[in-house]
Amino acid sequence: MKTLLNSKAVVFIGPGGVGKTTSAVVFSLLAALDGKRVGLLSIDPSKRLASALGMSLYGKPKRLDLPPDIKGSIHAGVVDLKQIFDDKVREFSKSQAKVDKILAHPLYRAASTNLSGPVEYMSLARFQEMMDGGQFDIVVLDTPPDHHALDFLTRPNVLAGFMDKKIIQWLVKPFALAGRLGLGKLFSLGEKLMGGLAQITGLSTLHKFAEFVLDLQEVIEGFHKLGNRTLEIFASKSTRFVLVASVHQDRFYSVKKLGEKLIELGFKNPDLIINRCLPHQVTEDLKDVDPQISPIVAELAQRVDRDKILSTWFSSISTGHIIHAEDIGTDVDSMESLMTFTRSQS
Amino acid sequence: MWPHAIFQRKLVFITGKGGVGKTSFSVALAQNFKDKGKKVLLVESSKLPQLPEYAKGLEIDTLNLEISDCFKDYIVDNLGQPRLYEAVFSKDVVKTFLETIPGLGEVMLLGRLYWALNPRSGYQYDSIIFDAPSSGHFLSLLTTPKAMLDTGIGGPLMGEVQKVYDFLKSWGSSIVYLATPEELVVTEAIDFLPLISDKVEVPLELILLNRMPPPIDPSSLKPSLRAWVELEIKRTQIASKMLREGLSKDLQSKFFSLDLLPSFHAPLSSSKCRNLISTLKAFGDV
Repeated sequence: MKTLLNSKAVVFIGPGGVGKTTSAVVFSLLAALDGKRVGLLSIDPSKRLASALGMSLYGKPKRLDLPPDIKGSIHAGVVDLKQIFDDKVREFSKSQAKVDKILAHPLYRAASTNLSGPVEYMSLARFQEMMDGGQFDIVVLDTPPDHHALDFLTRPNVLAGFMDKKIIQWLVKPFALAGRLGLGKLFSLGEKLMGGLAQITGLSTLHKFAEFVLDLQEVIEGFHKLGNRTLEIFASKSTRFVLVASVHQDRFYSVKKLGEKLIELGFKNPDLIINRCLPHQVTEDLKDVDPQISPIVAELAQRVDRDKILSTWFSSISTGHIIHAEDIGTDVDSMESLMTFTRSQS
Repeated sequence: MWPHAIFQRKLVFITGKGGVGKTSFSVALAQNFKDKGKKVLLVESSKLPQLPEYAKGLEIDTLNLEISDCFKDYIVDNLGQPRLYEAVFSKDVVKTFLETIPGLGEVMLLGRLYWALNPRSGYQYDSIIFDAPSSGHFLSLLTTPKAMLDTGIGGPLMGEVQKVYDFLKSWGSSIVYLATPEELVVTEAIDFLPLISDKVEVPLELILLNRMPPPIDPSSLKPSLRAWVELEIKRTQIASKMLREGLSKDLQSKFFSLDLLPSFHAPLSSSKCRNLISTLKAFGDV
């Protein structure tokens, strides 16, 4: 726990439904108890958890009201896609006219409110703001569940690929230009490629996409720099990754894949939190019972097994710590239960 | 009590919060389609495919539709243009460009599901069970075709989108929403189900409360364990009551519950799959 508390950024990763957000919140409270100024960024907290914390679901991160004995502070924010996307378009675009044009574009409106793509970019944007703003000792990042967590980690690479190949310049630009000039002659490789694209998508479709991407060029460049900066932060020694699992369901397969992928991406030796482990005495009592007497007893026996299986596997891939968080029998979703749980962990 | 209309569907989306048993249920449902004599395909879209492991030994075909491959399949299989693919779309720059077009991946994915049901594709499947993404991403996926059509862009691609959209709106496809009797899951279900009804045009077929524990007499258990079993049962009762009361009359009529079975470790056996479905109960009986 000490190493975690002394990091600059802690990223929580895990399948859905294992208590990832709760773990991130409890860890933030522990850091605040330790006197740290904490920035907490969540993707999708449950409404109950958000309201227990007095967390605002919109706008910029806001300071939480914590019990008076907590020396540190927590500023918590939720990734509000549309809000951040709009902010970044304003920040990165060089002219107001372009900002207006982009914000009013039907594709932009569809992308920023309806479509799933931008979530990773947007959370990275807020994360980077919080890291570089200098007002926090530690930034805690809660990520989307399952393989979306991987999208999240690889997103900066996708952006880097987009820019490094100068795709806009040699692919999209001549095409959009040609559109305005009434399809004049084009002599680049880009033309051939875009010709193929046009055959598939319909020429007018392509023009609209190309124009849109051109208008967005500065914004994309802005996100590109931001993506590189985020990769730097992820790769830094003072950033720690925490894998979150639970004995509550059989998500071993997902957890295993996420853990292996994390290491493959170069984020070595993460830590592991196993949530909702049964209290010691319940585990002891289970030893004297035939699990087959009832599905519910069988399920409890499996939780004991899952704890063991997870621990054994994790020790084989990481030298990080394993934290067994005990099920306290109540839902950890009010400030009171959060504090009870947090204090039991400190 | 099992609502048999589901076996008439060509495409069934299984969704719900992470960890509620979507993959296990998808495999079990596919087995039941197979028992009814249907040729069924299990599909997922994941960087971490799980279906081959879960369906091992069941002789049910599985397919992972990674969004990045969908464009290739569309051009090679659907349009029959392998050379065009080689010359143009296999290039990294083009791939990257396509990845940045908002919504294209989602539309391609839905298009591939639609295409796999077309006999021309060579697949010859009667039905597809799609172990779909969890709630938020699911909503994005299914609202994308309409968002794209609303942009007013034309062209052959958009013609395809329109076809997919029309199919999704019909009872050719339907949604099964899975929940478990846990407070967090139920809270999300109460928020999310009305959104599916309002924003998604695919009909909602079933809402299933998975892992309801059957009755047990805990008196023979040691004190700590007994107290814990009672606590678990109480938790599930509170959560299921909350869900029942949190849903509109219309949604309640789609509601069923499943027994808590020992959790599945991959792979599933066909008897386990059949057992899963046989425990289905109308919610009124719970």
